[in-house]
Amino acid sequence: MKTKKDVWTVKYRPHTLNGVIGNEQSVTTICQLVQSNNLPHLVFHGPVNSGKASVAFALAYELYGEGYERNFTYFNASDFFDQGKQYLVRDKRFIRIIGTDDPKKIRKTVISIFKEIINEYAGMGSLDADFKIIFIDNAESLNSDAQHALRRIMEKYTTTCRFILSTTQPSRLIPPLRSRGLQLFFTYVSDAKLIEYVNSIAVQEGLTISDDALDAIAYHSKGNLAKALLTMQIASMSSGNNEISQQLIYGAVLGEIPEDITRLFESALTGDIMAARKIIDKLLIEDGLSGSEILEQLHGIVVTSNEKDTDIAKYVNNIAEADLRMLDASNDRIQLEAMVANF
Amino acid sequence: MTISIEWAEKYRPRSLSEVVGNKKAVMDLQAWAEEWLHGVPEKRAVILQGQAGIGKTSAAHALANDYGWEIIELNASDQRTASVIERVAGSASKMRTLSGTDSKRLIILDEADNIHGTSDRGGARAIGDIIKKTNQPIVLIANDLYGLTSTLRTLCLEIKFHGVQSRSMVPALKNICHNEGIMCGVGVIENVAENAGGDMRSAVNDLQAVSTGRNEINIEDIATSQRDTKGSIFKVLEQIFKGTDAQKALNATYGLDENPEDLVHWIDENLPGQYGGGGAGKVNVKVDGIDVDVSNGFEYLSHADRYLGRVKKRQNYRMWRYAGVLMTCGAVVAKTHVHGGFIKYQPPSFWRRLGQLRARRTMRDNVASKIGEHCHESMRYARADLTSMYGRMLKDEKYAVDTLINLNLNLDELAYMTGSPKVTKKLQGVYDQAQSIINEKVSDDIEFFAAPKTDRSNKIKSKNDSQVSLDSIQNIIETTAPADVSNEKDDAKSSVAKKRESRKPQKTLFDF
Repeated sequence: MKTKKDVWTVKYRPHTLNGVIGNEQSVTTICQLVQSNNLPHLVFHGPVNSGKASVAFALAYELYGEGYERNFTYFNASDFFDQGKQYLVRDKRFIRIIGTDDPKKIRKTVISIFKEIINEYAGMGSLDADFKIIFIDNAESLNSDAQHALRRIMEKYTTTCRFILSTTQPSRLIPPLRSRGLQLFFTYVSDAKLIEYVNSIAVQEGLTISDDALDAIAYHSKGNLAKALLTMQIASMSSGNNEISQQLIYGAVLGEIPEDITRLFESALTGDIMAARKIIDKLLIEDGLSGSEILEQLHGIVVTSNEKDTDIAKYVNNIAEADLRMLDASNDRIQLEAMVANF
Repeated sequence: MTISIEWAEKYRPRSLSEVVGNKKAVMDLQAWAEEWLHGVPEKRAVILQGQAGIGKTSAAHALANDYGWEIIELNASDQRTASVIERVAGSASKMRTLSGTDSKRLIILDEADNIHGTSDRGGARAIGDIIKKTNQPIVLIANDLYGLTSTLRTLCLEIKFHGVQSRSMVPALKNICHNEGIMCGVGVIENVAENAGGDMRSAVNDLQAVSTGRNEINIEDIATSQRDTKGSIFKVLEQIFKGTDAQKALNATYGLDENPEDLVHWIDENLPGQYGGGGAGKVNVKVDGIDVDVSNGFEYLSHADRYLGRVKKRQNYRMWRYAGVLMTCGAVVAKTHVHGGFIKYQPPSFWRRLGQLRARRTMRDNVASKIGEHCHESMRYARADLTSMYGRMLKDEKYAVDTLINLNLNLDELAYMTGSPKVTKKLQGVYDQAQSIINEKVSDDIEFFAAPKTDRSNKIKSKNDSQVSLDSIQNIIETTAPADVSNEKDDAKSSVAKKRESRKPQKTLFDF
């Protein structure tokens, strides 16, 4: 059920492979495969927001047309394995398999449920197409058990189902899985392409956007289309009329940085441990971030900050050390406080 | 002294008046017993609650002794299943005593907070049933009130016993020494009483321990036989933050009833307040604006925490040893000078607050899941990068209704996303509007499902001819495939096509 007004990254998600911006090589390859109607398993590599999922959806649309959801399923491995049973009960698709909506009552293990779901879906032939497609996003979250389970499934059900594995960290996939699929690489788009595309969206939305604003978007998003669209949309929402200036873009960019993280950075710089602790507690408890998520955002702020280069190197070193310690530590809060205290 | 008997047993009070300390509790108990002399009181049972060794059991026994009641006792050494309790206490509670009509039986259930597990199945409920029906007084004794079920607690009168103050112990201990013919040096009794930490029984035991084989005790004798009492966490924290002796601090933690997992939170909570605070006449050394003591302390804590994590991950409790030393001794040696100033040690707040906000976190994760589903992103990405955007859109009048339809949020989630504490009229309006649109769409969808084929083929026809759609390929194959091309794949394909004709489109696992 789609409506007109939505986040632009969703609204302008390409419906055809021709509509995909950038990544020409990979897209051309896929086009050829679709035309020959002989699709192998695919493995998509590339950074966040480089268009892996969009290409997969466009591919499904080209193959199956309007009702593509019948033969194409989206499966997020990150949700499945990070949240486990909590996620299973949330997703209505799985109710039939687990038969309950209380995570505590699920007797099976997450991995056995995963196998069951994939087996059932992949094993059932399509009603109106040669094969179905199962798109596994964030495949790096599949643990090694799950990956080994997939090996056999992918071979056994080749006639009925094709797999597309999409990942930001190809090295996390076991070699047998990687070798089973055709590997395709995705990158961010060039600035020229990005500006052209963003401008076309602005026209469709009835906005006038100045050239320096476009440059600012390109500079800020560094080829990440989703980020560019998000920035422009935030700017458009804070703009009274339908004009977008460079100033608005800067405002939007600033607005994207979470305020709490900025304050955490400041209190780490001044060495105000009590203030830092308050912010850490809020981020961990109320916002529910994990320690490494906080560090990830803090890292983003630190590297783009106006501190001296030598200082930035030192800070990044501290963050990296804290992140490393969190791998085997038991309390994120203590690690974060220790990092702030030794920043 | 010919027979060696434990003094704690030998000098157990025979009468309520001999019970040391806890005057108020003893009076309450007596008042309750008086009620029994004139019929059945409102609360048929009492719970005596308090830490170990402060006279709860003694008070109960003394009570029975004072009133000349028989005693029926069930403690943790007996099996306490429902049937046993029913048989022993239940029958006793309903029968009269042999000695006469006025006399009662006192039923004492010692260690009542430990009735659980498979060996005591149904015990707690049986007690509840007996209390409701009993015509004999019942005393429950428990260390931890919360180990009892709430139904039991409502049935009983709660009497709280506190730790015995050392100055009330002193006369009783002196009395014992006098009876045993032991001479005490100055301050010996006081020291024994102080070390007991409110535990009368352990004070008596300590006294017996130091006096075995002696007729005279001096202060030097007890200095070595200091009991590892259950130390209070606040005393231990003081050892850690104010002391300079790492060994001493470590020993103090051994007497503590907290494992390293919990202790680390106490130290973590109080470390910056203590070491960042004013130095007694000395200035705190600062590097980069932060006290070195604080940063050194946290460095040790962080390492200690890593070992705790390893314990958790590998279930290897050997690592606790290093965690314990790192957190206590580390915090002791981290300071460059002793920090003065009284600071009230705070209990760790983090976990309590985490519990309070659990509902809110679930809500947030639910919303993030819905956003992730809509945008085809992981919940984690949606939570970090998209929730703020959608929150903004939901606050924006132009976007609100459409966004709400897309995400299919409920009212509470809408309120959460817009940051308003409760559902306002405006939000309700937006929600109703969205619902009415959704309902319209649903009826459309049903029609769509009723005639999917025609709908679908129309759409395909209207599509650009140059686009290769799967159906057109199949049509070509079906119409043009000559008989000689009879490989398996085509067979499979045509059988699929036949199946398609014969079967109605059915809902599969992933269609909903």
